[in-house]
Amino acid sequence: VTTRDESKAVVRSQKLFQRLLAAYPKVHREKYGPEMAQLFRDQSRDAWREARLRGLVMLWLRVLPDLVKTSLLEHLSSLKGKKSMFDRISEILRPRSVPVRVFRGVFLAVFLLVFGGATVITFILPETYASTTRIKLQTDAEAVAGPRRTAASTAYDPYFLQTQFEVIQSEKVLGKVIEQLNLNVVWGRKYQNGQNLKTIETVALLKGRMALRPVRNTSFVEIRVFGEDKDEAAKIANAIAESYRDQRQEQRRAALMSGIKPLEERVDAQEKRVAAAWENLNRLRKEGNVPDPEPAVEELHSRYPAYLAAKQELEAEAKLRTTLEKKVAVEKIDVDLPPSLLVEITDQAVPGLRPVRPNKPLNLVLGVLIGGVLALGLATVAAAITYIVRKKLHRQTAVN
Amino acid sequence: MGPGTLYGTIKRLIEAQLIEESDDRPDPHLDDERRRYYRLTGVGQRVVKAEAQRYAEMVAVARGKKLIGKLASAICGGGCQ
Repeated sequence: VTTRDESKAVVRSQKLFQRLLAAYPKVHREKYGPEMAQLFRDQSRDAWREARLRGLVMLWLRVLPDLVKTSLLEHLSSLKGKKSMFDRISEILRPRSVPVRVFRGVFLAVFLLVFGGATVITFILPETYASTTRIKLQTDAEAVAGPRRTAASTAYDPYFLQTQFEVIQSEKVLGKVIEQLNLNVVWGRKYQNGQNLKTIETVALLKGRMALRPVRNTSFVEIRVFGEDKDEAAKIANAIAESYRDQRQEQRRAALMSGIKPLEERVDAQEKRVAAAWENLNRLRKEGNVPDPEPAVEELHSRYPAYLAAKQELEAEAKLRTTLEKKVAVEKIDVDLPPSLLVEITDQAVPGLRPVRPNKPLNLVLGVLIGGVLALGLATVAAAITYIVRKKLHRQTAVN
Repeated sequence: MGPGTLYGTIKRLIEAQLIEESDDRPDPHLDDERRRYYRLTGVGQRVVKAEAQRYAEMVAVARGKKLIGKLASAICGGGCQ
């Protein structure tokens, strides 16, 4: 085999390969055709140099299946746009592609975390019941019967409700409730390992568990008590209302009694004055020998003027005493007013049917809403960061 | 490697931005003007490293399971170290 033979075989081989390049798509052929032909030419020469014709045959046995396979792949790739591994990598690194997977992943993770947390906390929290007693309040002046009401006594007191709220929460009112329901012992057993609580501590606990609310545009007030034990909450609410009612009644009685006492002293003094006037009249009757039965006023006036004057004085003193007695009687009527006129318990508290806290539907809805908003925000941020990082990588690649 | 496989691979690597054509050329007496030179991009280098790491881990797993020893003895027929 000569060099001439070599060049003939190699040249024919190269020509054949160049013709077979037509099997590739035009774009591929235009871009890489010359290089592929060049490579084949080099490989042909090497093969000839190594094993002459046998080398060329062996080369063709390798190249031909490769050519069939890769030309088919290129056609498929250009026709179907089938994505190879490299295409996928390229797509991932392309800065324009939105990182949907990152967004979806972060969104799901954050949403499930928030919603799951809200659900778990909602179901772990102890249940709290509420019981409400409604009372109708009246000022002391309003409670007094209609005809005795005066413009001054019914004057509007803008601080009445606030003052009464403070009275309801006072140790005087709550102390009675604590004593009545034995809360120092009961709550001590619950919250202080069996040691009794001090009243001041129980009052503080009780204040934290109660809420007072005026019913708009009425004289009604709601006393709401919260507790893990629904029966206890209802009992406490009712006991507070009763204790407050008694307190108001007691307070009013004490105030009125303090006003009646000087009046009664005045009645006693007047009684003495009446007695003295009576004695004076009797003395004058005896001294003046006033006949019995008494003569007419005209005769008394002409014959017994001193006696007549004493008689008129006695009548005036007696009249004043009667007036004072009437006044005391009226004041005593006010003292004995039924307590319901001051504080009327219109609705007794009953044990709650279902817990008010935690509000499960609300918590779950909030979990969905907050989780959704938070997840949306964080997922957007994560996707944006991913996009920026990819863009940077892309720029670096372009620079390199 | 056949020319079809080589240039198909080069094409995809360029499209994936893992390699790129380089203008740097060696000394003229070592060069051939028909030659084209390619080099790894930054991303390409990272992908190569990651792939090499993956292979290293696979080898480690295979060693852990004593697969490589068995395979080697099967291939060598007990005649190689």
